[in-house]
Amino acid sequence: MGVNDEAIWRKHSGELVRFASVLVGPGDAEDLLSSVVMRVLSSRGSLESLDKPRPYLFRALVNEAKNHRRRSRRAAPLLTEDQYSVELRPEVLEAVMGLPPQQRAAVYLTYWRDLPISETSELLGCRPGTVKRYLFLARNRLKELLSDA
Amino acid sequence: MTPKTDLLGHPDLRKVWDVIESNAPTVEWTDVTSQVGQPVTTKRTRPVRRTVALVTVVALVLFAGNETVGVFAARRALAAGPAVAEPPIQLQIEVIDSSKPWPVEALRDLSVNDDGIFAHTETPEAVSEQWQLTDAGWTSLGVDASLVTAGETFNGIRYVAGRLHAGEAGDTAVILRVDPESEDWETVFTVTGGNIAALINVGGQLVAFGHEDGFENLRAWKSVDGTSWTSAEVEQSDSAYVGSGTSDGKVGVAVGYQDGSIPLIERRGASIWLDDGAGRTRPAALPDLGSLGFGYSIGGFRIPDGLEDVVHGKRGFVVYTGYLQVWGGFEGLTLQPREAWASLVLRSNDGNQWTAHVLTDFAVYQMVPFGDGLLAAAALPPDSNTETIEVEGVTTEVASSAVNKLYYSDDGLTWREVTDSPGLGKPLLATTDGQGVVAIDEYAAEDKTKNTTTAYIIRSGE
Repeated sequence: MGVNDEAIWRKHSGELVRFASVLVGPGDAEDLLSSVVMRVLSSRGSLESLDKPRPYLFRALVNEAKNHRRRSRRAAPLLTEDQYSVELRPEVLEAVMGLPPQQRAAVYLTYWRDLPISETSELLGCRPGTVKRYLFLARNRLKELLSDA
Repeated sequence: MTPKTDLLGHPDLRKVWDVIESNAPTVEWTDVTSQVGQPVTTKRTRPVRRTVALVTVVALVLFAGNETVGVFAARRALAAGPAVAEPPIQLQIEVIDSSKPWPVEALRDLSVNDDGIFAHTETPEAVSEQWQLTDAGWTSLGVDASLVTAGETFNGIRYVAGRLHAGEAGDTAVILRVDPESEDWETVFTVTGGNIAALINVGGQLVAFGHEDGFENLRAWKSVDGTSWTSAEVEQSDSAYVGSGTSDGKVGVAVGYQDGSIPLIERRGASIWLDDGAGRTRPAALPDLGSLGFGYSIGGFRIPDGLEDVVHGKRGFVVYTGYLQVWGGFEGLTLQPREAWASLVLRSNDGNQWTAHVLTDFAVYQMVPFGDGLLAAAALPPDSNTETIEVEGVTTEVASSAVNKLYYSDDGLTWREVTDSPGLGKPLLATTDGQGVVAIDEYAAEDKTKNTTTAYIIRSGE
């Protein structure tokens, strides 16, 4: 491990673990993030060896989340009932969590974290046009449900 | 936090993110480092075809009784007659630069014209920069604040559409042109809060396809002189998105997506608009994509749900999708999304009559005109690059990142692998007069951490 690894971790771990929670749920977020960091440490020896740790780790989380879904025999709920208030309609949560990881990540980063599309594309490792596509698809998948509320 | 924008402005969606973030765990550095050395290993294996076979069988069982069977049935049937049916083709591939003057994966666009080879980069801080490839490598032409989204030559003058990032005020779409006298770029049209996806030279007009409000409200704007612009109607523009367009001079074709009249129930999906200079209409005969087995519906979602890009070559228009994605049910239910590693190609000579074809051997990443045919950077199926991952003593084979290669086609239907194709981690292609092509690696396929950037000139001929 590098001497600056812990500093890099402290700088980015908050947003990374929140992003991991969006991808696989808070219950599996720590495992997802840990496995990504462990891979970096195994293959590269340190976090500081990464040219741009932040976008690298975001992209790695998305990729690892895909594998996480593939490995899951049967996906567990991303949030248990005791983790959210009764004010949140389960069907809305289910619809949002039912979005494919890339779409969900694009919506979260763009509309909640309020990042420009250019930065979202950087963090997801795809072209800006692809982010726009994810947002378009996600918005339309959610539009009908939210308009009924 | 209080975001300045939120999806549809609906409070329920804000609650979702709020709930997830508030339940996110706290992970200390020692929590992570204490796991180093435990059995989570990755090693590459030889391709394992049975992985996909198993997926197919499982999918057939899961989806039996509904239209989704058609997706896999079509894919299985078409797989017997692969799209890559001819021997590889030898092209001249010359490495011209292997430097990376810009930040990791900042590369956004390539263009080639009579003046040279140009790259456009954009950093996470939204700082964009133009580069030109010279004998000394990539040379910066300066920093600007725009992201190029489309370009076209009209009456001998180069026009570029772009997006200015304006902070909290949102983005503004602009059309710039090279002033014939000063040779400076000048702004000739702006759409505040909008986006311009395509510039088309058609019927003696320059036509821009885009959106008035972010990526909503599909519109077109036209100009006969390049400086005065008027708004123009687009047929069936509700809930529609255009991502790309091109022209043969007489007819323009714009492609994208469109929802049906009942969102979540009926998706019209892939959409094409025609522009003959007088109006922007829908083609008279768009193929029934459902007949290909790709028009299935689960929970109301259909695939293909959009068209990626359109190119015009010597054999007409070719429209293509990237990956065809098979949607499943919501997380927590039995059905899960699975990827169908294939592309859909629509072909037309005149823009009105289209035929549809399925490429089963790869998913097209980008396609450009090349000589008398087309060149594509395409991703091979994931089963050709599987990984074995061991987690807590359980070994699982998972699809790794796709390997991209170059393919050539005379007609957009039958493709030939390019011999000695560069390992294109994340390729971008550009052409000039259909002859010279530049492809860029952003990372080596075998090791993405290298983040190399390599430029190639590719020419036809042995």
